[in-house]
Parts: sequence; structure tokens; C-alpha cells
Amino acid sequence: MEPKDFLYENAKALFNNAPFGYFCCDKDLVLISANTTFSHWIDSTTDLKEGDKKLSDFFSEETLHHFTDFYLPPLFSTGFIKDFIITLRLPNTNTITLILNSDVCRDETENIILIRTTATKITPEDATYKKTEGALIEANLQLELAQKVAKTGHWTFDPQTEKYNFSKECLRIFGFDNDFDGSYAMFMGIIHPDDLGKLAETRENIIAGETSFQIDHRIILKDGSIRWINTQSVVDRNDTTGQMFLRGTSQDITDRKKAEEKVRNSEEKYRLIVETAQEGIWMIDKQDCTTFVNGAMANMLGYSVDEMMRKELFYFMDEAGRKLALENLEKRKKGIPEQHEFCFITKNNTPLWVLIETGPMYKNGEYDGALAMVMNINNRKKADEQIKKLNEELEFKVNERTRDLKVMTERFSMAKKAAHIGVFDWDVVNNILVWDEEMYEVFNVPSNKFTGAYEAWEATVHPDDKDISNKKVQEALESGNELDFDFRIIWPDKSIHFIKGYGFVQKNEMGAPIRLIGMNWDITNQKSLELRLEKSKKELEAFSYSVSHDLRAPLRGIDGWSLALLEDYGHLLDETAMAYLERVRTETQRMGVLIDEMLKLSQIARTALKRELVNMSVIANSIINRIRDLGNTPPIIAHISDNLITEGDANLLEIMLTNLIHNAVKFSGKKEEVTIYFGKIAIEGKATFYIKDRGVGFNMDKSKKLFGAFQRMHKQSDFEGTGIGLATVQRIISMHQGTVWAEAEINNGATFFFTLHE
Amino acid sequence: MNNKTILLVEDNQSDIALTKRAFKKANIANPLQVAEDGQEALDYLFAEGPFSQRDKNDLPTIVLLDLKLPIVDGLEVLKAIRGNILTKRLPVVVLTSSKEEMDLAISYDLGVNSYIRKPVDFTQFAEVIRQLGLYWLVLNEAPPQPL
Repeated sequence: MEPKDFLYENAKALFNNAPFGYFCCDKDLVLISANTTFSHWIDSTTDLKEGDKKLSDFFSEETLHHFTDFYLPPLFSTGFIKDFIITLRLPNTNTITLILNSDVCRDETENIILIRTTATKITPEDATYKKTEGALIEANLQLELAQKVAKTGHWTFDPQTEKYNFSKECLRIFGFDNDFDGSYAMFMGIIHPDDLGKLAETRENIIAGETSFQIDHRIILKDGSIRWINTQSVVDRNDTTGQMFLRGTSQDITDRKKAEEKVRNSEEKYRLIVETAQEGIWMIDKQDCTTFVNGAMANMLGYSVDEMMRKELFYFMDEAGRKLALENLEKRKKGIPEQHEFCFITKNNTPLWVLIETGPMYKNGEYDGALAMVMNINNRKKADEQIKKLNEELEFKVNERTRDLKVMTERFSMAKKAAHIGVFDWDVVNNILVWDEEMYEVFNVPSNKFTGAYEAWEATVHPDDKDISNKKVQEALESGNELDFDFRIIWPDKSIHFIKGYGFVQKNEMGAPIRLIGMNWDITNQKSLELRLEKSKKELEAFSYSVSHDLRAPLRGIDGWSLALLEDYGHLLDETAMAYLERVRTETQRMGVLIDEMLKLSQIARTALKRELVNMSVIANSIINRIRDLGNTPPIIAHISDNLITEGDANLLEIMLTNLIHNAVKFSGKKEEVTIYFGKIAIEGKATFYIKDRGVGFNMDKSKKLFGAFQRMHKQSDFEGTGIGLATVQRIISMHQGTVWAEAEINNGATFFFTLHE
Repeated sequence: MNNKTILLVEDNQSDIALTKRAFKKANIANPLQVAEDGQEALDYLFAEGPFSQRDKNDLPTIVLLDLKLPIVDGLEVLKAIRGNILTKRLPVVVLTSSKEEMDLAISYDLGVNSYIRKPVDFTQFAEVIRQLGLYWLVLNEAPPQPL
């Protein structure tokens, strides 16, 4: 062994077993080496030589902060630190307190590469001197802890040097790491811009002589977040030099500020909710007086908030409401919350329907009033009432209609029954034919034998009418026109019945027929009447025929043989006998004329009326001209109005006018001239034609039978005639829906009036 | 004036006698064949039944036809005459009491040559017969014989 090595080995043994601890660590506090003494202190089982442990592993959190705040900064800046007291926590939960003396080794670029430390262990039984110091350390530690818990740091400020000295907690509160140089400028750099003025003001106050101050202000941390700080300070003054020294504490009050803010915000929020709510909010005290209403509530009732305050709740309702409110308030006093509808009376004295959500309020466990949320349901209430009213009206109308419908249905079915009208409804698409009860009677088919198809109806139809009936139905379906035709059916008893079919077609949106609905009724009686009428018309024709043939033939015989007697045997007869025979012939011929006239009348009755525009003035003039042409009458002076135009059958009107004009001429026969008027006047608003003469007239009292056939007002010897003329006139006028009458006076003319198409 | 037969279809004995008297007064001497019903008239014209020995080509110069006849009425007779090739051109004058429009219309539709209504007054009737004879027996050109 070299002597140098021997020395080294001994030194090493001495070093390891020294009564003080020795250790080296790098600047991150990783232990590089330690002597045995230190190793034993901190962990008897672990060899610390291996450099895998950090000094900080043995620190409590507080110790670490204290170490990094107050040990390392001066060590790094000055290169050594002396008598730094620290308490280590050991793995066996014991603690040891050490006094450290450290220096640093640097490399050539001044980087710290090693911290060398000697440590002296302090034990309670050890040195009394150290004891006092230990208590101080303990107090410091406790202060530090208290500051940390209260988030309060302490500081000093020397205005002469403008330098701050911050406690560890203070640094933390202000967000400084070890980078705070204590300068006033740096401190002011983190103050919230809005609070700079506040701080400047404080500073001026201090210069002016303030001895203490308190201020809340904000700082902006490095991460940009804002922290509220409460700072309290006292100012020490040297009265002789005027030098000042400030001591103070700063507390992080961000949480409190946030809580305050939160409270303020939530109060604001509730205040806003209450003030701006659409619902009314109403509070009363235990005397039922209003202690609070919001704007909405006041608005609803038409008052201002001030008008409502201190007013009794009952002020805002009518008598019925008061009664109800009293009952409700009793419930509140018993602690019962409730939702109910209520009717207030507004300032304008109109009802206000509301929905109230209300409950009691308590103070010290006793009823202290009530709080209510009030919703305006006036519109809803009005709408409800309107709906109710409408419903009632609708119901009434429905009932009325139902009643009407029932009455109509009853009437219809009675009418149907009375008239024996059956109703059918044929679903064309599905060929379902539905008959009502009356149909079964019309067709005399028992309902259980009816198959309910078109063919069932078709089977009842008379064979001769089947084709035409099917054709008619088909035409109606194709054209969509109304169905209207007669057909015969054969009843099971073989009797033939005439049926009237009437119906209409329903089409779908494509225009295809889907339904044929209609009525059938028995018109056999009507048909047989028609047939009988037809028959009697035929009989009348046959009668007329035989009159003209069979009655005239013998007349011709009588006349003919009378003449033969006169011609062949006239020489054997005296004049009287000859005259008698002449009379036989005259009467015979007269009878022939009567028969002809009668035939004419019956022919007129059987004429089908034509309708055309007829100028009666032209016809009357031509009749008069024909009479003049015959030349066997006195001169005729005719006053005929122009354009007496009507609608009707020209031939029949001419026959009518011929009769009247002939009469007028005939009954003027004994005068020197004949004057005839033909014109139109209005009688009782109706156009009335008249033909007037200045003839012999007649006795009005005996004119009742004037228009009857074969009725004559004059003796045959005075005026010839058959008495058929006026009967014909009346027949023709009544065929034209008109009336004829006459006014006359004996020897003072006659006027015949007639109307057409009344 | 030719000498050919006149066929009078008339059932009324009085009218037959009066017609003969009128012919006589009008100096119409043509033989007058009387058929008292429609069937008899047709039998005569077509030489059937009682008249089967008659030459059916020997037609009367004119037929005076009453309409109201027993068995077969006048319009049926007219129809049969116009429907037969032998007689379709035969002049037929309806001589009747009827003035019914239906009778007139049907008669003309069936091709009657004239329609005359018998007046009640015999003087007038005799005049009608005179003119009828003058016209049909003297003035009128008879139709050609059918082939």
C-alpha cells in the first residue's frame, strides 16, 4: 500500500465515523455520498453511498418549502450558508433536527456541481442553548404553517431602498417563485391595471401621514388568472429622521371574493327573475298586507307597485273573492301550500282570472305571511268560456238540426208511405242493391226472396220492357244524367203494374259511375187513368165521326126526298103542302149547320195548341176586308189599334176573332153603318183586349149563359145564328189561359173583353 | 162522255137512291154498279167471289167511295186498290159525310184522286154530282191501262 493510500484510508475511516454528519449532493439534492454517521441518522439500514436517494425524500412538505425558500436561494447566490436548522422525517416516522453548514463547488463555468454539507444533530437532551433556538425554530415553523393555512403571508417594505422582503407564503400568494427581486417595480408589475390607482392612492396617503391601511386589490398571475389580495399594514415612523418602515400581511381572499361574487350574482339573478318575471310575485305578511309585489303583478292588476304596497290582500277582490281568500289564508296559516284559480278585481274594476301557486312563509317557526306566484289566465279563461259557449251553441244547433232532420225524415217517410214511394240505392261497383221497406211493397216481393243485386230488380220487369229498361239505366250510368222512365213489372200474382223510375247517378273522381240512387212508385192507377182518358178521347172522336157521318146522312135523305116529292109530285100538291115541304127542307138544312158547328167546336178542343207570335191587328183587318168583300153588310168603319201582338195559335186566334167580329157586324146589322173598335187597355194591371160595337147590345141580366153552346140572346128571325160562336170564342181563349167577358146595354152596343196568358 | 161503268161504294140505301137520282138529273147515263160494303167493292174490282166470272181487266171509269162502310171500310178499300197493280191508277173519289181531318189526310196519303163531302142540301148534292160527272167522265183523261 502506498503511504498516500494509507493516509486516504485512515482519513476515510475518520470521516465515516466522525461525530458529525457529512454528505454531498448535486444541485437537485440527489445524494452523492454521505459518511456513515449521516447514513445512520437518516436510515440505519440503507447505505446512502450509492447516490440513488434525494435529500428531499426526507423532508415533509413544509420542510421542503422552507428549504427551497430560505436555504437554497442564499446558498446558490452567496456560495455558502451557515447554521440552517431543518427537521427531517425519517422512514420510521421519527424526526431529527439538524444544523446544516453548506458550501458549493463550481466547475470552470461557474455551474454548481456539488453541495457539501456538514450536519450537527440536535437532540432535546443535548444542548440547552440549542433548546431555545429549537423553540424559536418550532415557532417559526408553526407561524409558517399558520400563514400557509390562512393563505396569509407577511412582508416588510423599506421605502428608503424601495425593497420588499416577502415571507415564503407571501411569495406564494403573489405567485412569485424565487424570481422576486423584492423591487417595488416588479411588485407593481403584477398588480391588476384597474387597481393601480387604488394602490397609488394608498401610497400617497402613507406619504401624507397615514399610519395604517387596509386594501383589497387584484393581481394577475403568470398564467393570467386573477387573484384577490387583502393587505393590512402598519407604518413605523422614525419621528426624528422621518424614515418609514412598513410591516404587513397579505391574504389571498380570492375564494372569499368569488363566494361574495357568487352570492351577489345569485342575488342579482333572483332579483332579476323576480322583477322581470312574467308571473306575478306577491308577498303578504301575517296581517295579510302586501309586503312585496313585482312589476308583473302590479301590471296585471293595473296598479303601480307602490300603489299596492301595504294594501290588504282583500283590497284587490270582490265580496265572493274575499270569502274564498279568507278560507284560503286559513289553509296557509295551517301550513298548507296550494295551487288554485282565483279572480281578482283590477283597478279598472274588471275581473282578472289567475292561477295562483302559493305557500306559507315562516319566521322562527311561526307563520309570518304567504308568498304567491300568480299567472294571468284571463285570456285562457275567456277562451274557455267562449269555447264553452260555442260548444253549447253548437250542441243546441246540433240538437235543433237533429230534431229538424228527424221531423223531415219522419215527414219524408210518411210521405213515402202515403205515396207508396220506394227508395233504392244501388252500389254499381259491387252490384249491391239496397231497397227500403216500401220498395218491397211496390214490387210485391218478400224481402227474404230479394237477392239484393241488379238482376233481382231486372227479374221483376215485364219481358217487353226489359230491353228498354236496361238501356235507360245504362244510358244514365254512361251520361250521368237523371234517370226518369216508366216501366212495367209483373207481380208474383201475374198482375201488371206500371212503375215510375226516377234516380240519379253518383260518380267517383275519375268520372266512373259508382252509385245509382232513386225512387220507384206504382203509377198503375195513374196509367189506367191516362189510358181511360185516351180511351174517352177516342170515344169522343168516334162520336164526332159518327155524328158527322150518321146524323148528317139521314138529314140529307130527308132533304133529298122532300125535294124529290116537290119535283116529282109538286103538281099534285097545293101551295100550303108545298110550303110545308119547303119548311121540312129548311129545318133539315139548319140541323146540318148545327151539326157542322158542333163538330167544329169539338175539333177545336182536340187541337194541339201551337205557340207563335201573332199580330191580331193584321188578322182583324183581313177578317173585316173579307166581310166587306161579301158586300152584304152596311159600310164598316173599323178602328183597329196597330200591332196588337200576342203569343198563341194563329189559326185558333183567327177563328176566335172571326166569331167576335162577325158578331159585332151582325148585331149592328140594322144600322146605316157598322163601327167596330179593336184595341188594348190595362185592367187591374193586366193587358186586356176589347172588341166593341155600336150594335143592338143585349140585356146584361140574361148574359149568364152568353158563352154556353147553343145559347142565343136574339130571336132567329132577328139575327141568324147557331149559338156556337161565343162558346167557340170562350174555348179558344181558355185554351190560351185567358178570360173573356162582355159588357153591353140594349141598343147601346156591346164590348167583349179578353185576356190571354194570365 | 164515255160509256163505262161507275162504281158506287155506299151502304146507305137512301143515299144510293138519291145519288142515282142526281146522276139522272145530271143526264149521266153511264151504268152504275153499286157495292154495299167494302168487301163487295173489292170482289167486284178484282173479279173475285160472286164476281169471279167478270173480266178483271174491265175496270170502272171511276170509283165513288164512301168511307164508313161495313166489313171492310173505305180507307181499306182505297189501300187495296192502290196496292194492286191492276187498279193502282184507277180514279177514286171519296164521297163521304165525314169532314174529319184524319180521314182527309189518310185518303190523300193513300193516293185518292179527289175528296168530296156530301152536303145535306140535296140541291147542292145534285150540283156536286153534276160537276163530278162532267169532270171525271168528260174533261179528265183516263189513265192508261196497266201492262
